[in-house]
Amino acid sequence: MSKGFHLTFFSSVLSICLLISASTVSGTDTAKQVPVPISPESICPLLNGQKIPAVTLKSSEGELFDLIASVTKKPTILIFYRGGW
Amino acid sequence: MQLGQLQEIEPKLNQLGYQIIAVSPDRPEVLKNSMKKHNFTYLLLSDSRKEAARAFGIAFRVDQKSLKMYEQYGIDIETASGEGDLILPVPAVFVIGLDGVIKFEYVNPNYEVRLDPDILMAAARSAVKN
Repeated sequence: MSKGFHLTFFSSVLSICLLISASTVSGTDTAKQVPVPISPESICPLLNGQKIPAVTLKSSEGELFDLIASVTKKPTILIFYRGGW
Repeated sequence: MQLGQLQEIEPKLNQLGYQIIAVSPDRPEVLKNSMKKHNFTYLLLSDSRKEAARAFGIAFRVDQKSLKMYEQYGIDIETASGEGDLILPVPAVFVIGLDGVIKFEYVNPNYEVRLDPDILMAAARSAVKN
């Protein structure tokens, strides 16, 4: 396979990622409409330099937690893990 | 990097001014058990509907083969999150500035390859400097 093909292929994969992430961060509801990839290898994560989306999480007490509000108070190390199992 | 390793570098990260937030699909009740079991001192939060994982672009749907493997290990991801969507996040670490911008990230679809705590420390140090 030619180098040119690889370049074109990877740049189109990247553009798809950028398109998806752009629509993901533009609104809270759009995140739900973007289909969820069927393998860990086909995800399109937000990239360095992008702003985090507005999301609401829950504390262990079930209270709502506004991520952006918390991040603007302190620089944050945000970890996603699969579960306590 | 496992959560236990994170616990070890937590004081150093706090010294740099960081807060640590760990998010998983686990229901709030399940988080409570994790906190008791492991004595985690940082904040565990629940993303049971996977909205955060989706918005960060790291959500994926678990296939039947992996699901069977989880079952063999006694892991029931539906009970853990309380939702039947079979969605998990790819393990990820984000260093985020006060402006809400991602300064550094580590996302690896292979959950066995974890971020070296030394690299996280270096990225964290660099991000507060700039």
